[in-house]
Amino acid sequence: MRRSPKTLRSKQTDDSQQLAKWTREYAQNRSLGVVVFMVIFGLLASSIGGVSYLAGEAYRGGNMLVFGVCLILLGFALAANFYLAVPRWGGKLMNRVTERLYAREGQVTVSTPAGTKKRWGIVLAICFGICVLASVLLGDRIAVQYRQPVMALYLVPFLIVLNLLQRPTTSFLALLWPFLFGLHAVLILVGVPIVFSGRWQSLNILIPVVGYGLLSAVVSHLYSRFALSRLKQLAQGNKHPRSPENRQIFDG
Amino acid sequence: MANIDRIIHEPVRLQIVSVLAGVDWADFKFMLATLGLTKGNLSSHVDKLEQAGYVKVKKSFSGKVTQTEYQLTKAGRKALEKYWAALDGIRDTGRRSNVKVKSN
Repeated sequence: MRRSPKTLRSKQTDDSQQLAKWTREYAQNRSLGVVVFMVIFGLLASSIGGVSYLAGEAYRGGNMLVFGVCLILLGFALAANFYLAVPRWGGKLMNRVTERLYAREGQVTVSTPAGTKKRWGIVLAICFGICVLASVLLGDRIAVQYRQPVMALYLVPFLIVLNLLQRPTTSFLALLWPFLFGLHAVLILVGVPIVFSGRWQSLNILIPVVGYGLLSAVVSHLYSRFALSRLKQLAQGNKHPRSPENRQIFDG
Repeated sequence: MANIDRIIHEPVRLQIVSVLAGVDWADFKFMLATLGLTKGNLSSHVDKLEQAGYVKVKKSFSGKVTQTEYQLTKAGRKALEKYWAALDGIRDTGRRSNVKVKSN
């Protein structure tokens, strides 16, 4: 069916604007690198917890060989954690991993405008650091069931402000993480039995931090797949690269 | 058609600038995979856009591999917005004349 010129023009503008929109949505949600890093952080945190526990048991049992091996492993895990946490090294590695992961699709970037945002970023990082330090120092004085809600008091605003500062690099889907973290805290305060105790109490922090972070990154990644398919559909839907229409344009 | 920018009006070139309007930079591979064009076709259209000052091309080396990245310039962004506005204007004129014909 032939379209009238009016409809054709209207479709052309709409498609063009949609192309810009879906390219941005795709670029903002390429979170496969974050997924990989969340998994690495989760494994490192779990291994630090596990090895610490094993080292304690070995020390109490008088098995100094196992204790020594555990200390070496702990040293490696902590060093790896530190390396990944420093933006200069971890950030570079993450960029390289992301480039590898998206090698087949090519590279596309949305940058954050420099300037005042960077200054606010430093202020935010200092505030966050102070809050983390305070919560570590107060750690034992806070009852186990309230540790995650107390952490939510500074982590949720931190993640929200971080998302706003990083815009347009990140999408609103990244707000899923602070939302779930906050919801988890509210559920604990309401009395829902989602608090771990005993040797599993580190999961009270690990699940909301790594688990929800991973979940939001996976959701973001799935959305990027959807955005890419919409993008390709819009761009390639009605034509083939070697179609007569395309060839005519090329010749023109 | 006086206000229509002929450089952008070509469908493939319109797609290229539209995709670039959504991001800061996009590389050759991304454009190729997304738009489903041949290498020659993409290069040829980008050349025309570069000559018009609408697209900035940055070439760098990653080892022995050449990496080509594209960015929409301010002039390109302005031209695209102007183009969208021009098409909207044509659409509105078409609508108004249709209403007139019906009322007569």
